[in-house]
Amino acid sequence: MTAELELELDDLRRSWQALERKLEAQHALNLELATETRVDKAKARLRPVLIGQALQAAVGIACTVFFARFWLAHLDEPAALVSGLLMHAWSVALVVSAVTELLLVVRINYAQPVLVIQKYLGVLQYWRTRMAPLLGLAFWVLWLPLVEVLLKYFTGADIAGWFLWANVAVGVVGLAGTLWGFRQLRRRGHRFADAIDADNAGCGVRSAQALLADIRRFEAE
Amino acid sequence: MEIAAPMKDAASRAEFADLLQRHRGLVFKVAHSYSRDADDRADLAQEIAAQLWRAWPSYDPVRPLATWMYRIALNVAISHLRGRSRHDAHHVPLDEDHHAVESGQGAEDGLPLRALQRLIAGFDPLNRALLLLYLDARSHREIAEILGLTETNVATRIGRLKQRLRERLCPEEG
Repeated sequence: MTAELELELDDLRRSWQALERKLEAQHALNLELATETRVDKAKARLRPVLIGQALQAAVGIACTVFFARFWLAHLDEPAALVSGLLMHAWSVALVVSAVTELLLVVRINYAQPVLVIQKYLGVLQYWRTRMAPLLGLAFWVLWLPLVEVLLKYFTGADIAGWFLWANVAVGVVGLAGTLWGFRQLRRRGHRFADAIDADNAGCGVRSAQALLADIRRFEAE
Repeated sequence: MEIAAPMKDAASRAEFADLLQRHRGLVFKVAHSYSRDADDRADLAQEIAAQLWRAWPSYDPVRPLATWMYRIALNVAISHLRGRSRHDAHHVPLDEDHHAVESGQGAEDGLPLRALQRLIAGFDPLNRALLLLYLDARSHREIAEILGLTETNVATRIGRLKQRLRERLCPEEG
C-alpha cells in the first residue's frame, strides 16, 4: 500500500490549508490594480449585444404594427390575410426573442447562488444557439408571405398560386433538410456546426447542453 | 455636494481594496482550483476581482461577506472554465508554478499538493465547488447559501463527496 492510500480526509484539509498559506506567500499579484479596466472591457463587450437586441426589438415592434395594420386591411382576401398573419406572428417572435435575451443578459448577477446563475447561463446560451436562429431559418418559407405582403402593399397584386405553392414545397423541404443536415453535423461534432454555434452564442449548443446536463446531474445526485 | 460623490467613490474604492487584500486568499484558492496554468490562474484571479468590484456597490453589509465573495468567485470561475474546451476543463495542470507551490512542503502538510491538485481537477465544476467549500471548512449553512441548495441536501452531498474522496484516495477499499 502506498503512502497516498493511507491518507485520510483530514490530510486533505491540512493540504488545503498548506496550499492557502503558500498561495498567500507566493502571489504578489495586485488584484485591485486592473479591476476597473476589466469592468470597462466587460461592459464594452456587452454593449453590442444590448444594442443589437434593442435594435431587434425596435424593428420587431415596427414590423408587428405594419403587418397587423396590413392584415386588418385585407380581411376578405385569404392570401394577403394569411401572409399578413404569418409575418405578424414572426414579428412578435422577433420581439419576444430580443426581449428574452435582453432580460437574460441584464439579469445575470454573479452574487446569486452558484446553481441559480449557472442554470441561468445555460438557458441563455441554449436560447441563443437553439431558439434564436429559428427566426432566420423560418425564412426558407416566410419569404413568400413577405413577398405577398409587399407586392400587395405596393402594387395591389397577389403572388400567382402555382408560384406560391411550388415555393412553399421547396421551402418546407429546404427547411427540413437544413435542420436535419445541421443536426447530423452537430451529432458528429463537425467544425462547421461548432463554428455556426459559436457565431450564435460565443460558445455553442453542445457546451450549453453540457452545462445544463451537469447541473441536472448535480441536482439529481 | 460636487466633492461628496468622488470622495464617496474614493472611500468605497479604498474599502474594497482593503477587503480584497484581506480576503485575497479566497480569490487565489478559487482561481487555483479552476485554472490550468499560471497565466490562466492570474487571469482568472483578475477576472474574479473585477467582478467583485463590479458587484461591490450592490453588496448588502448585513449579509455575510464570505458568502457573497464565494458566490461571485465560484460563478466567475465556473464560467471561465466553461469558456474553454471540454478537454481543457479536465486537464490537470502541472506547470512550473505548481511545482513551485509544492516545493518545500513538509510531511505535516498532509497530501502532497500535486496530488491534491489532481484530485480537485478530477471533479466536475459544481462538485469541485462543493469540495473547495468543504476543504475550506465552511458550515453546511454557508455552503447551502453559496451553492443554492438546502442544508439537508448539502449534508447528504458532503457525505457522498467524502465517500468519493475515500474511493479516489484508497481505490482498493472502495
